[in-house]
Amino acid sequence: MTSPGHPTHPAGRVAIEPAAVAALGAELASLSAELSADADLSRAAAASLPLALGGTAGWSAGATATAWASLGELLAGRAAALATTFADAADVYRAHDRSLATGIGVAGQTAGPAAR
Amino acid sequence: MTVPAPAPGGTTAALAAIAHWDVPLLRRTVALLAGVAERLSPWRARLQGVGRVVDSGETWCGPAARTAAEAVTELAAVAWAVDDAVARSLAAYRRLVDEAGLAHELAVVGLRGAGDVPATAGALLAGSGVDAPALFAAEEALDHARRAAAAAEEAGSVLSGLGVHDAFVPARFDDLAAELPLVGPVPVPRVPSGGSPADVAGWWADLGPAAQRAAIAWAPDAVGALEGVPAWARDQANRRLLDRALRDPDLPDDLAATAAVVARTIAVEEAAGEEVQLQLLDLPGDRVALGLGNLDTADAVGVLVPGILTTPADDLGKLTRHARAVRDAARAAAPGLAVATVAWLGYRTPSSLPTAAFRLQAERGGVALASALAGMDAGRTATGNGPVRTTVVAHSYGTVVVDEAADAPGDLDADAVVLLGSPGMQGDAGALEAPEVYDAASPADPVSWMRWFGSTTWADGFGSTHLPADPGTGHSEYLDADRPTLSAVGEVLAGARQPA
Repeated sequence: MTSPGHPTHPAGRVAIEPAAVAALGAELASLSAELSADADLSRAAAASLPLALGGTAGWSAGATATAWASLGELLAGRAAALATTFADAADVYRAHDRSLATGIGVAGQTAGPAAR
Repeated sequence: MTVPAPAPGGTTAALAAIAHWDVPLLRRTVALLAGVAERLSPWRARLQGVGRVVDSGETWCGPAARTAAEAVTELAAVAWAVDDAVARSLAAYRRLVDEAGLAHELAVVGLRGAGDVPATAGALLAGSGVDAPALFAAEEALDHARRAAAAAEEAGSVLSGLGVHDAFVPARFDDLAAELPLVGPVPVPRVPSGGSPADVAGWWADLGPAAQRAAIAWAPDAVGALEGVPAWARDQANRRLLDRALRDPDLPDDLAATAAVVARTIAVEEAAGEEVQLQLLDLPGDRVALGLGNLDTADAVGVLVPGILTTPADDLGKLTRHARAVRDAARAAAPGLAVATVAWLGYRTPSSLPTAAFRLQAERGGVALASALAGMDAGRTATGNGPVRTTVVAHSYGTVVVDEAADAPGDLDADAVVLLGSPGMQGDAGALEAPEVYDAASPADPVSWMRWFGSTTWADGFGSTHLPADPGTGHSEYLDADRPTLSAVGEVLAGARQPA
């Protein structure tokens, strides 16, 4: 049950616990929200620093705080995108499983009488 | 974006501008930024936690899962780089606060005493005989203002490694990731050999994900035993050691036997659906610690410290079952509480009754226990998790180990201590440095009234809260399922039982 490149994801094996993956997606969404809130705080700081100092130092300090905010937003955005991916993956697997179950049921009903 | 020009009007105008700086606002704002920066490290630690779960393949396995794991790992690596740069940026902001504060104070003094200030203090001294201290203050103010400006500049320039130039940040995450050398050889970090668990936790938190993996891969013996490293990482390191031991044909028989017992115990627990974390594997030292549950994220942790004649080879299975029983009792006391327990054989217990009469093993074990408790606390900090309720459940000679642990430098990192069948303690309950101290003793347990090592824990003068114990409870039966002591210990672990 090993593959050279990745021992925990061996080739040919596909398995999922949708609820657990959805929970991971929720954690990623939470992480994204927290970092977004901090990005907002950085942006507020960016506005305050030129007021506190004025001049070049104030401008420079404020601009850097804006950069902090932008960096936070990039990370938060990526975390949000991954959160959506995880949630979608859980939903898709669930839906696909339901579809397979329905298909198998229909096939069984169709095949049943013919076999008699 | 344009940079505002310096204030016109020469030195006096510059001083006036500095004197108008709102330093309290600056302090508040940088404190706010400090909060943002300090939350980033635990943030990425939690993100790494998500990555580890996906990477394990336990909940999601296959090509899509692998791609997802890589994406989370990449985000964690970028977050580490941002965290590192922001921490250096914050250091510059803090210098800015210090320098701006000094500049402001001195500028006020300079303006008050010097009136119209010429370009330099030297020029003024040569001519006018104006207030010399004020002039020096003015010159110092300008100097500190220059340092403040340099610090403000540096707060931004240290972000250049992220592709941030003139405050412009890469437009997309992929552009930001492309700025960072995420792929390629990772130097193996030097694992610290000294330092407190808190120092170790700080060192670990500062490593990037790739460097953490490198440390686990290349120095598992050091990482696996290092107090302050998060439980997940110690588990990975010690499992590598275990795997290596199981495949070593030259390993002495007794060590191989212990390794086999550890592997078997882990397999049994995992087959039963338990999350197992191997926290210590010191085969030559005959020491093992096995966690049930997630020690990094649990709300409550119980550490079981056994007494004499207990070895990993002979008793790990039994101690682990006790750890599971205590964990289950805590869950029963507080449904929904995340509980983890540790079967802690982190000291070599006395191997005979004559050696058990001395404190030597307890002294060594006490130092190890105190360090392990501090390490667990610090490791949680490194993973960005909040405080945990920690209970030490010690049995027999293990209570003497707790006694010695409390004597180690610093306070014992435990919220509660439970003493079961103690052969006596040196001081009273207060000396154990834990806010809550409980005991259980029974008339059928002769050890509990032997006073081999000091006061009996059930005596009123000792000051502990008594837990229920059947009169017929034998020395090794406190944690048996049919005894009332077990559920009471579970309540202590969960924080559901208040001390008297």
